[in-house]
Amino acid sequence: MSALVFIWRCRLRNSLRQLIHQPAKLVPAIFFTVFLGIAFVFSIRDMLSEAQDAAPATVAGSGSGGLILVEGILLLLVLFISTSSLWTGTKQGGLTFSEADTHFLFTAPVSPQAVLIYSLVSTLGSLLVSTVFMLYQLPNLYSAGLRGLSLLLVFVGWFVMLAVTQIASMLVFLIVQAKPELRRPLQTVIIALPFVTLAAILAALPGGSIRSSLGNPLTLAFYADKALGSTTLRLLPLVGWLHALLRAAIRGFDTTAVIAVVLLALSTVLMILAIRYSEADYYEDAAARVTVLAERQKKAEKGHLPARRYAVRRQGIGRGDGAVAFYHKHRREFSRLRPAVLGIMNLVYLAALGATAWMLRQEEVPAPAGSLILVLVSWLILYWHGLSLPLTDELTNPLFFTAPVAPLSKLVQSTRFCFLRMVIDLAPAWLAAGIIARLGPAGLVLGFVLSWSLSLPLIGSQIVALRLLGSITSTFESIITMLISGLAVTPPIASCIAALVLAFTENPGIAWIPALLVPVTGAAAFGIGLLFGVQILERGSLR
Amino acid sequence: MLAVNNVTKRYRRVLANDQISLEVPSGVTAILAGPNGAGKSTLLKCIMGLLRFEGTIHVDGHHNKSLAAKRLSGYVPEVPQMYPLLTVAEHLELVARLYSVADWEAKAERLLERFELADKRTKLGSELSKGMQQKVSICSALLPGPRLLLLDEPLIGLDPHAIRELKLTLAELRADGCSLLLSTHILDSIDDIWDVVLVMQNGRFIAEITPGLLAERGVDLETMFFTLTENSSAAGAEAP
Repeated sequence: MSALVFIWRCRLRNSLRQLIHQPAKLVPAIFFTVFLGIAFVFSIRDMLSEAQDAAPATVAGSGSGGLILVEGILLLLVLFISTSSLWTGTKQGGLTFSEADTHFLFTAPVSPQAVLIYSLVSTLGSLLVSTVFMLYQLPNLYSAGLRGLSLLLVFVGWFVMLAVTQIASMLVFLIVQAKPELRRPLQTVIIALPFVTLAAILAALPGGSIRSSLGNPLTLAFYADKALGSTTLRLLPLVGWLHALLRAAIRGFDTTAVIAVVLLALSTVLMILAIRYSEADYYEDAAARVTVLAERQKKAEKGHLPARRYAVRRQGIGRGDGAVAFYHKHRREFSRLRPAVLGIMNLVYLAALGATAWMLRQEEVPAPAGSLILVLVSWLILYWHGLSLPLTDELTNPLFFTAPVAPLSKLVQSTRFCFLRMVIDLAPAWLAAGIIARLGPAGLVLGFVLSWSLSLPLIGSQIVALRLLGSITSTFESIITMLISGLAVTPPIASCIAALVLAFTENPGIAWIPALLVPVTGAAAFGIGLLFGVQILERGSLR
Repeated sequence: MLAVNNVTKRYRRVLANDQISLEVPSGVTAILAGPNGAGKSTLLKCIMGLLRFEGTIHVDGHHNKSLAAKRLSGYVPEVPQMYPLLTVAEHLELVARLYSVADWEAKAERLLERFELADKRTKLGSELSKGMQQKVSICSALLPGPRLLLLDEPLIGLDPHAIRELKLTLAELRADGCSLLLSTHILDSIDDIWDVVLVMQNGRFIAEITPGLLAERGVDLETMFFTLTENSSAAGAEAP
């Protein structure tokens, strides 16, 4: 076991060292911590000011209703988390191993049970860290009437709930491994769990109580409290015991709660012992799971291409020699990635622009202003979407560097497809928005062109970022790229906003003049990007 | 040292190993040769206890999944997998702890020097190239002094110096009575280190080649291998 402790110790120490020595990791970590810290401080401040403002009687009065609500929410969460964890257990379990674990630990003379406990403790460590986020619920719990020790106990209870469901999930996995024929019966029991819980709640209520309490908050609270405190519910295995623990944290311990908590503790110890002495042969499944997760991560990074065979007539890059081959390559890749041409992005644009157009119609906003508002909305989506273009991959592709074609020509042909893709993504949404908002042909065409032209600075800034950073893969590099993109789009967006202001004056037609600056400034940013791109291709990437 | 009896491994409908049996006595180097997808890596993983299978595998009389068998075995996987947040030296320390290796520092030092990793000892796993990772993987397998060493395509990604050192190390291990089982499809790289070549195709052994057999037929290993595998493929293709 000392070897397993050694892994945790080294990982923790080295990750801290790496954080200190690598600004690319330190800066986002500081950003994240500061952001969380500020959010937390504001929550606490609100909580304290609420406590000062509220009269004691009001707090107590809202408290009991609030506590019932907190209890109810916690019961729902317990039910959801335990059911989903146990269900996962019947398939792949809560085993968390890395690829290195499968190499070093699975082949070493360490018992599989010790390796399981290692996985379990690693998972519990992650759960403990995730419990920190519960701190942001502190103001809500406080305003519901929870104080002092109860608040602390709710946090402890929450962690215990996560830990116990994880342990149960692992045990279910091992049982299914050892006896696959038990998978179906176990799944049936897990599916029955919410129904049994509901039955226990209903059993605690007298006949007709639900109907009589509807519309009467006091009666409703009374019956809800009665149902949540039902002995049958609290003594239900696992879900009931966990609910009893969390209720006891809020309301204090009674005899039923003590029995439930003792049963929970005993069953947890038994489950850990069962895991410790399990004979299940789980290495193959755990290793397969690690491989599946690694493949999923690769797909997420590279984009998913469905595995299928392509007919001979659909193979090949296309016509033309020289740099145009890159354009045809992108076109072919795109047609395989999106066989129906339209994709998720079309829906995103359609939903966003359609909803905006409908609001513009309700408010009767005239064409220039309406078009410019739609341009700004589409820009917001484009800003995020535009950061994942095929050009980024191309500028790290050796073939793109070594192909004997002029650098500018390669860049133009490669970006040509990026612009075409923007047209495919934007056009249907703009057409729909134009019809809904009654923009007229001129407003529609000009708005669409302005919207599309914002892709110019985005692509340009991406090339600049690649020249400066060498790649856009880490969080730090992504943040810097976003900052550069932000700078590049500032002049076109400023022009667009200026045009929007003019659109609300007495002579709205004048708004199109500054609007023309949108493509002009965008083209300038794209031109700068091309110059940087030529530098990349002539000098080679930084990495 | 290694006894594999009637091992069959299926991945759903795919039969990866079909009734495989082999023995590798002490001091013998056996090569698993065959085209891609022949079942070589699967067999090595079965021997290391990473996969479930039908049949039996024993290492020095111990069931292959027992701790006693694992204590005697070393394994170099096809793709090296490192802990991204552990240094090279820490990987070796981890192996020393897992296998309870006495005086591991001196042994680790020798291995690091031999495979030119001494100046990389403080590098994290995530900072190493594929070749470096392969070297660490080899050092990790060698550190506990295994009596049975399984190597899955061990020469891929290694530089010429490391290839030479690995071949020398394998020769030393063989002389010391260690059983070696290597999988490879680069036959010219193992010319001088083998005692027997087991040719696999479609999950089965199709031939066992010894130096005596080659001398008898007057052909080299590569010619023999292609004759066997291509004939077998043609026969398979012609079969109804």
